[in-house]
Amino acid sequence: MIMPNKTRIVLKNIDYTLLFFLALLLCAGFVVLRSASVAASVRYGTNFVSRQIEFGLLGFLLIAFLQVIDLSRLVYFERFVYILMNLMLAAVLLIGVSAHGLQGWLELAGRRLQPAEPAKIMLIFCLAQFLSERRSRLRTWRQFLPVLIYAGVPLGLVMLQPDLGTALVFIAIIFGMMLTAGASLWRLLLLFGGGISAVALWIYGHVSWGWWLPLEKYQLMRLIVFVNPEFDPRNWGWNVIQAQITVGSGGMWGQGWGQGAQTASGYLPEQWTDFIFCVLGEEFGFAGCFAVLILFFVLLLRCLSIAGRSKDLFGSLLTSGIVAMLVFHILQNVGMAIGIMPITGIPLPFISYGGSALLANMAAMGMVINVNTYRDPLMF
Amino acid sequence: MSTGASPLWEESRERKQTGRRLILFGVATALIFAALVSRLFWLQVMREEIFLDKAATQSTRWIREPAARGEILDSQGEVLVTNRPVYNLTLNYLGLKGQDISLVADRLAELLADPEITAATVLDSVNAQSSRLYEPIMIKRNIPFETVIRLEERRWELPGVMVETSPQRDYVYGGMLGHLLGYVHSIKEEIDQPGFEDYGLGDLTGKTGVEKSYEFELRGTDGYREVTVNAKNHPLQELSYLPSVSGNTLRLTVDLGLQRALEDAFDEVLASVAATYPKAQAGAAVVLDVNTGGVLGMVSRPMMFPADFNGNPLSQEQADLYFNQEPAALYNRAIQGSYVPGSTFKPITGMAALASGNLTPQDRITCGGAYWYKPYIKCTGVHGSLNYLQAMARSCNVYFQEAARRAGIENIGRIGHEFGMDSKTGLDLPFEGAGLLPSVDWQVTEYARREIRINEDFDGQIAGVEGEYQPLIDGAADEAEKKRLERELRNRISVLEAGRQEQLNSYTSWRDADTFNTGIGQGYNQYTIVELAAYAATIANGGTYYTPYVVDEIFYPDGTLKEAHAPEGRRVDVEQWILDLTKEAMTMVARPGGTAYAAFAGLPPGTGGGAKTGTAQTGRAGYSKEGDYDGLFIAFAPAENPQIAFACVMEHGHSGSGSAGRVAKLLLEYYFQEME
Repeated sequence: MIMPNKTRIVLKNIDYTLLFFLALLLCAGFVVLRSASVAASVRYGTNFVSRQIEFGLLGFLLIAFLQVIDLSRLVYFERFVYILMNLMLAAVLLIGVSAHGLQGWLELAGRRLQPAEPAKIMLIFCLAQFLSERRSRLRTWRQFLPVLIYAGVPLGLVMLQPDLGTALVFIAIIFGMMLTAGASLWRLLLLFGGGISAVALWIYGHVSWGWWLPLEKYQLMRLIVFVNPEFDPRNWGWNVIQAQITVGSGGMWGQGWGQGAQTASGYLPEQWTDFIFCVLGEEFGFAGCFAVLILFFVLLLRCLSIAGRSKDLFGSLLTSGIVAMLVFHILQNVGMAIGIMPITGIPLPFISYGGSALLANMAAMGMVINVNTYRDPLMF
Repeated sequence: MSTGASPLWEESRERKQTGRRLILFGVATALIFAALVSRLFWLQVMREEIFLDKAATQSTRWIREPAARGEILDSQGEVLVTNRPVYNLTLNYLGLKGQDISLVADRLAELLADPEITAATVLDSVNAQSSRLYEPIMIKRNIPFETVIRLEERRWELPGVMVETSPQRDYVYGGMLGHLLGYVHSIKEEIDQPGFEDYGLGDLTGKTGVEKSYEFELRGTDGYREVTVNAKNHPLQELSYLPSVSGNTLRLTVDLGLQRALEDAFDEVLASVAATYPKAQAGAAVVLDVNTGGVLGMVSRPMMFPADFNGNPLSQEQADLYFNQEPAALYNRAIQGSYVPGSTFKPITGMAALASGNLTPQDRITCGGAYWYKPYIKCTGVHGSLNYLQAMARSCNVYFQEAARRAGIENIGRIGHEFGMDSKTGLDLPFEGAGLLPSVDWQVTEYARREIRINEDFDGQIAGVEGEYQPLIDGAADEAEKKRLERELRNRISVLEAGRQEQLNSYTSWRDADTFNTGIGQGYNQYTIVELAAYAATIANGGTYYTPYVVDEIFYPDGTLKEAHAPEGRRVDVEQWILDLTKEAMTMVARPGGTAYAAFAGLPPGTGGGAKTGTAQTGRAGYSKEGDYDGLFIAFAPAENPQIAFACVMEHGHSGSGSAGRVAKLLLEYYFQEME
């Protein structure tokens, strides 16, 4: 084999349609971020949009870099990646810096990093290899156990931070990948459905009968105001109510770019990250929200079809893990803006402001594209 | 070939199963997206339909109802500070939306005809609030009623302009007690400090005096109306109302009658002294209750009128008066200014000498007009042979220099410390200054600081000289020239080294002359007037140092008592006979033959008191060497079972008895008249 030939095949195989939809999503994000960050840009003295564009361009470079080698050849590093991921998460617990009540940041050479973001990708990579080695051996509870232990270690470390949002993302990833790996369907539903019911019962018990519950007060209040925002409309319920008012006031066609009164008044905290969907809703209305959701949906279906075409189970699992992660992010972020999910600090992929998250998501897309690029087992 | 892929993966049973699972995955994703889209459709399209028959769009606004600030009363319950409703001119940005803002600003400036408000300043106010435009933008507080009428007449051409009422601070007695009460003004740097989290831009906050130190008592809690408004921002209906809660009421220790007498006395004497010595324009006085430390009166000149602030920008004249001129009026000289105490310090020297055991009350010291040790500081006269009581009555400089020598600076520092002269009194007013007591502790740090400064200075000079000669030496024409230059350099360096040594000797060690100067209240000594008053009160009550305070009681708005001040007393560690004898010595000062007799002459029989005058050579900027003296006076009254203590300074007052002493006389006349 000579290199130019390989390069040509790689260039031919890259999924340009996927890249196009990704670029559209990013541009939509820049547009919304522009009006969401007007006040914040002045307050913090940085232009949020130009920083986000820089990270976006960096992300495309990262995607290109990820096409250099077939990721299936790197599965030997699974052990190493798994240990590194757990060390990172443990390091955050031991020497991490606190912000907003959770200990999620590591300070490296003066820059703040959030290991939770790369950890999501690393978990998907490791689990894809771990599960593909156990293909069609997920039919009994006994066969479930090693997977749950393997995935439970990083999940436990994240819960200790306590970063509930990332923990939920981990659970969604584990569920999605076990589903794709062919785990017994009723066992899977019983395990995750039962888990959610048990937690709900536990919280209900805590509120009604004072059961012990290892949640911070703010986490509990978020759950209570999710069920009933009027419980405390001025404090904890404020965001829940204001988010819906903001989205709802957009109507069919929205107030227009930069014209959102709720956005300009700063009714919502962190509207450039967690509540950015509200800004989209107010200024671009149902039409704008629908368009962005359709872009996401097309992107995700495209990823799933790549998963179906993969040359091996590893590629299918890797891709479906990434899809599970993105679907959960979208469900959670959009859901909390419109009152069907409780409030957690989870950003909207490719749209919310934030360098770590954007680079992690771009890396994830790079990995999906990689699976497509190297889809033919006899290619090289 | 990658590990995960078996050659048979393409046709394997697992691949088919994975394909089915991925379709299931896609269906689940589609369901999730369908749920999101339906909910969005309901929120954004369906619900809007429901609202259409009421108004185009509906949203809620929170309208703030500012809380009335707490009142401030004097000790008898007389109202000193209250609130009255005033008209404020605000701009409602939402009302301005789509209008030409600069046009409105132009018309507004023209209509107000106020030199402080131009179209540019109006636009600045709008820009300053760009992140919170849904709140009214304050343009001017307290506009006259005629302006309100003019605005209403031209309503139609001023969209977004609103007149609203709000409670404003009303200082009933103008500038009286102004420095102690303090003023409120728009919040600035405080907004980032703890406790100020719920303050907004444009809110008022206490900046000085009681208004600042009791900000959180006085402030109250703002109320809110939650109203729905339609697209044109017209209120439709009130959803909820949370009434405001007024701030707490403060009752001061200050007695309004005594305060007025004190201010009148000070102004009268200041005017008469200024007729002779035009530099006399400033000063301060404090009256304390000797049994609690409560401040009965406090005055500082030039006068400060708290109502000049109140959130509106200051005019140039006001800014000059309060900040720029010398003396600046904003400064509370009773607690912020440090003054050389002059002879008012002598009781401390005397007590230190008696406590050291090196001086007995009977010891006689002969004054021949000047002290017999260097620098032979002169006395005010030739007093002859004096004991403790006589020396105090005559304020003999020779006696108290000798007393200081026998006591030693350690003892003077210790007694001064007992009377709180080396630290803030800790009274409940902001920005209090601390005195400078030249104790041994102070010397150690001060000398270290000076040594560093002197060495830096000379090191710099020497380096400069070396830098000047080095190029000359390097470029010398011949060996002889080089030798000559090197010798010259050595000479200049040795001159500088000698200078350094001399300065180190003079300024980094305590010399006997420093002790003598300290003993008569000159030299490094500097104290605030409230420190001097607290020290006089401690002698008067027989040795309990009470921390001065101004707020006696705090009441909730409904009138129930929240908190009452408990006097904080501390026994000074000085033998009782020394305290009693010094108190007696100070009463001698107030009797015929004493230096303060003039202040007590003519008072009703059986009253009297104790006092000490002071005339201080300050050496400060603006004071010439000869004749420019601050006049100081400390006193307590009556002589038997004293009730009040007094301390006063009149800057450039020339002499203690002729300036501050006359203030004391007028105050004592009022006081004893009230007692009857």
